[in-house]
Order: sequence, then structure tokens, then C-alpha cells
Amino acid sequence: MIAAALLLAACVAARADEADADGQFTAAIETARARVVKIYGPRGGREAGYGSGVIISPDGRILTVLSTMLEDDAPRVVLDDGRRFFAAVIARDTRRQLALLKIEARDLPHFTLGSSAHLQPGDWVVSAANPFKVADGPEAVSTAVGVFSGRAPLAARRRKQDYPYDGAVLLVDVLVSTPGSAGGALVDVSGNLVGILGKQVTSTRTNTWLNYAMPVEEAAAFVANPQAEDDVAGALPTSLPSVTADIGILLFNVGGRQRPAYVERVRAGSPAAQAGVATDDLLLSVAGQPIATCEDYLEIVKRLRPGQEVELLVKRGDEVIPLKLRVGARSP
Amino acid sequence: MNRTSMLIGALLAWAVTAEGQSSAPPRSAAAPVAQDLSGAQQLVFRRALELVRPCIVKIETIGGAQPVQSAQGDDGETRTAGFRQADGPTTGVIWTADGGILTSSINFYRDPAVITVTLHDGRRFVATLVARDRYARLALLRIKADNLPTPRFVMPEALRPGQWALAAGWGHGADRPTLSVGIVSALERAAGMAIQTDVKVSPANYGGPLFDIEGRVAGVCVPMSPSDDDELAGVEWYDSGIGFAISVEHIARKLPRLLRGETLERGLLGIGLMPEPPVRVEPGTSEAEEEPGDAAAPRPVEAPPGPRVVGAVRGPAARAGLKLGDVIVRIDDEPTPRLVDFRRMIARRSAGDEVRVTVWRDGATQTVTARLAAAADFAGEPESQPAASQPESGPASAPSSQPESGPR
Repeated sequence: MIAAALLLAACVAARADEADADGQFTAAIETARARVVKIYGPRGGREAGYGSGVIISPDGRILTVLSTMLEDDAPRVVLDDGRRFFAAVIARDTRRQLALLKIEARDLPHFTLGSSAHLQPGDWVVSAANPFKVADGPEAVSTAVGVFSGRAPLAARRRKQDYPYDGAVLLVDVLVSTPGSAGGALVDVSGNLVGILGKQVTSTRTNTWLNYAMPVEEAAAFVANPQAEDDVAGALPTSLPSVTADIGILLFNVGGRQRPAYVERVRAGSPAAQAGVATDDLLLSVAGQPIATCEDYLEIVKRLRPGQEVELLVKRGDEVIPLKLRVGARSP
Repeated sequence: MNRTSMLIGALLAWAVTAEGQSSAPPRSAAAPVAQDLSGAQQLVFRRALELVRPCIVKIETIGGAQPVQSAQGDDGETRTAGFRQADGPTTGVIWTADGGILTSSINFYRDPAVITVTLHDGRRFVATLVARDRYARLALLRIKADNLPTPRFVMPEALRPGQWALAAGWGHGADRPTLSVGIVSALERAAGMAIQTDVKVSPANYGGPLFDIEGRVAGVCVPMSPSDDDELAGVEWYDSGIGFAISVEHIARKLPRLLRGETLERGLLGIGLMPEPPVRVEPGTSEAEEEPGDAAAPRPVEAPPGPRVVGAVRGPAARAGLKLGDVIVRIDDEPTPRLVDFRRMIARRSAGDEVRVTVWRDGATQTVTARLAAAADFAGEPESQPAASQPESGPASAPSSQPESGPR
């Protein structure tokens, strides 16, 4: 085994002059730094007043995140070569918390908005951004390397009403939950843009600052149709059905804020009764949505459509039992 | 066989070589082009995760106390140290094929009413919290299942700082565990219980496995602070590059009692200890804290290396007949020339376990047996005035236990 390794090592050593193994991330970083800009504007509240952006066209269109730094007549943009521009905010996406800027420039190096679908957990990713305003003027933005951790729905705690996006984001183990990183680039080892580093948020699932990026596909969807995203349609929860869904379960209400969803009573003849839900069952999930509290259950039932087939997962004694039922209807 | 898979073979061969001996070729001497190297590494990381994945379980809890509120607010500018138990799922590792699942005790800080475990294949079970090890932040769950996949393990002695390490967990609520990659930073941390890693350890993977590129589990990720015993200590270091996993070796020592359903506490002897002196005092030099003998007394016999009992002797130590000034030279027949050796040997045991303590006293050694006590066992002791509380933190713990504070 060792001999084989040495032999193989000798074989590949001949190629060493072509590129150094230590240069594993250099190409990606060179690509990214030329296409990432520093942005400055007013600070406000929890917003730092500075951030990062990525150039997506030769004529100076720049993607970044929504932030108070844009709440100005003209946020200032500094390119990798040190040139400074005033930028115009030409579109805002309140759902994805992205913004599209424009500077008057030509022949800029820029990213193509491609795909992140090829990323798998364990793939190297490189971040390029200006956390803590470390880079000044023509100085290169900060870069860091880590791996893509996986995709998960965003569960932002901070001001969730302002950040209603709950689609998948790219989680990384690069520390990018730092002031100023948002709007920067996440690239793969080939230098392809795979995501826009996201706004600083904590996760309701882990209570940690999230290191994540908005997938490049989401950014592309915004850029392709920038005006459509400015209305609030996407920001509001989908409208509730006019007919109230009915399952026929009454929960055990003992007070306190963390009430597990124990079944107190099942109405005779109701969908729940037909499915075999029993008193003292603990509801674990409905339609794949986990239920920790009575409130979770009520919230989910509101969104069910009469006639919809759903699976309930209940705990009965030491058993976890799946039950299928068809949602009934009741006039509101 | 394409070039990429050959490269993987080479990478794996290097890993094996590096484990066994130091004859691994320097990386630069065998540098493939960067692209190939990245591609090969990525395939190796994916493969490692795939090997461990069947053993990584998702834990969900229902009910229990209110989340622990952070003392400090969430501030966009600073990463606060406050901690709040999150709502998301947590992670465990199948340890025995008959349903024993190891995880971190922090995942049950709220004492949930119901715990469920979802396996890799989607089957979901109600789990019983069998036991906790509060000092090592471990917990053992049991589900009624058989023929579960168990991981391959790698003992700490086969690990070297600098080698790849990976961690995975369910905390982010994704449809598969999320992965972080880094290196083994150091071994024998936290009184020998833990492996240190720069992998991003956090609530996203507390209770999940730390594993090598061959998919062998090296430990279970936990929050840990080498200088603080509180169960939540170390949580503030999440994602910092300072992460810990309790080694499989340490787990193996504790597992029999955990399987019997015994909750384990840190074991204490009931003494304060002063580390071996940095510079040996030359005979004849006057030293305020030297043996109480006078100048006419025979020249004192030089004490062997080992920590010296300096505080009040209480609890198990008092019952075993230890005395002020004793030098502890062996625990369980293993030499303890340095205080850290003593701490590691004691950490192998828990409250309720017996240890053999060999002390040097007046030129002779003797061995006694003591049954370690838990911190709570000292609560009612008459001497437990503020000054005498020092011994509680002295014996097996903290680098911060100031040796300078000396007697009392």
C-alpha cells in the first residue's frame, strides 16, 4: 500500500510544475476578488452601514442584500481596482432580501448567474466579501475557504416578518455570519458563483448565527424579473382557505406556553376518528410538519385544504404510529 | 480506473501511512494539479459522510422546560455569549445494534417529556433517556430496535493532530445531515476526555459524530470548556474553530455504567492539590513552606514527582486516610508525575467508582482505595465554608484551579 502510494506520488510529481497543490483555491479567489465590491452607506439599527456585492454584468449591475446601507441617495461602491462609484438602487426583493444596484462603468469583470445544483456536502467553497471593513480602498476583499454543508430551509429568527424567505439556502462551514459579509460571493473551486452571502440572521432551529448563502438560482430569478419581486405578494403568507379545514381533534389544554399536542378528545365520525386517532395520543407531525406544541398544530391545520390527504404521526405509548386521513371541511 | 479514483487511492494511502508512521511523502513532492486535488478531496469527504450516515440519527424532543434565555440580546454587530436552547432537531450516533444511541446531554437540557429518534431509513421511534454523563456532556438513549447499523470506530491513539476530521448533524432541519470539515487540532483535551477540532461544532451537530476520512467515528461532538464544569459551558464557542468531541475511548470507559442506567457525575477525591514544584528546592535552602522539620533534623528525603495534597482533606480522601502533604504518585497503578496525569486518571472514573490511590509520605509509599464522590456529596460537610470549597474544584479539574492558592 505504502509502496503503491510512493509510486503513484512519483508519477504525479511530474505534473507538479503545472500547478502547485497549495494553489488549490488560488484560481477561485482570483476570480472572485475581481468580481466582489465593497459597499458603503448609512448605518442604522443593527445594520453595519457597509457590506459587499457581486458584479453580474460588464456594465455595472451589482447584486447585494437589502440593508440600511442602501437607504441613501447613492450608496458608494468601491471596485477591486479601487475605483469608486455612486450606485443607483434599481430593484429590491423584500422576500429574498436582495437588491440590484447599477454603477456607470464598462467592461467590468463579472459573474455569470449559473447554478448551485452541482454542490454536494463536502465540496469546497470559497467566500469573498468585506467583513468588518477589513479591506480598504483598492485592497482585496477577505476570502476564506470551507465546505458546503448542505441545503436547508431558512429559519431566520431575526425580524422574520422582514425576511419571509423560507426556501432552501446553502449552508457552509465558512464563517460568513459577520458584519459586512452579506452580499459577498460564495464560489466553488472553479470560481463559479454559487450563492450570495446572506444577511446576518440567527436560526430558530439552532439559535446560532447562520453561515449561509442565497442560492445563485434565487438571485437569478430576482434579476430576471426584478420588478415582480418588489411587491409584497411574496412577503405575505399564502392566503388562508375560505373553508376551514376540519380534522376533529381537540387538544389537551393545560396552560403554559410549551404545551405538547396531546389529544384530549376525538369527535365521533370525524376524519381523525375514522383514521384511528385516540385520546392521549401525542401528535408528532401533520403533513410532514413537525409539531412541538398545540400552537404548532393549530397553525398547520389552518393551512390544510379540505379533501387533502395527509399523514398524521402520533405517539401512543412507546409506539410511533402513522395514520392517514382525508381533511374534512367546516364552514367558518 | 480513472485518474480521479487513483488520486483518491493515493490520498487514502497517505492517510494510512500518516497514521502508521511518519514516512508519508511531503505533499508538495507529489502535487497533482489543484483541480484534481480538490475533486479527489471532495469525493473522499462525500464518501466518508456516506459511510457514517446510516449511523447518524435525528433526535426530536417535545415538551420540557422553557428555553434557556440568553442573558444578552442578539446583536447584529457582536456575537454574544448567551445561549438559548433551540427548537430544532438534534443529533445522535447509533452505538449498539440493539438500540443504544449516544448523544450529548445538552440536547436534553430542558428535560423534554417525549424524545423521538428518526433513523437514516426514515423509521421513527420513541426513545428513552437511559442515562447521562454530566461531566462529559454525554447522554445515552435507547430505542426498541434491532440490527441497527453501527459505525466503525477509531481510537484516539490512531489520530494525529492535522489529519482531516469531519462532523455531521441534523440541527439545521435539512433533509439530510449537514457536514463540516476541518482537522484534528489536539488530543487529550479536557482531562483526557476529548479530542479538539477546528471543525465547526455547534448545536447543529452536538451529539453527532466526529469522524475521519475513512468514515470511522472518533468521538461524539459536545460543548466543552476545559475551565468550566457547567453543563452549558463551551456553547459560546460554537462555530469558532475550537470544538470538542468526547473520544470513543473515553466513551468506552463510561458505557457500562451508562447502559445500566446510572447517571454519571464527575468523581471527586476531596483534596486540594499543588502541582509538582517548577524548580526543586535545593537541600539547605530555606523555604517557608518546606517540611516543618528544623535544621537539626535529618535531611529530608526527596519526594518523588507528583501533585501534593495541600487543601483540607475531606470526603473520600479523608475516609481513605490521605493526609496533608502526601504526594500522589499513582492512580490505579498508573504513575501521576504531573497534575494533568492525575486529572486524566481521575476523569476515567466517575462518582461512585473506586480508585486506587498510591501516595508517598515520609519516604514510603502506600496504596489506599477510595470511592469517588460527586460535588453534591460535599454539600453537607461541616468544613464546607468558603475557604474549604477550594478542594472541590481542585482534584480533577480545571487548569484554572490556582496552584498558587496553596494550602487551605
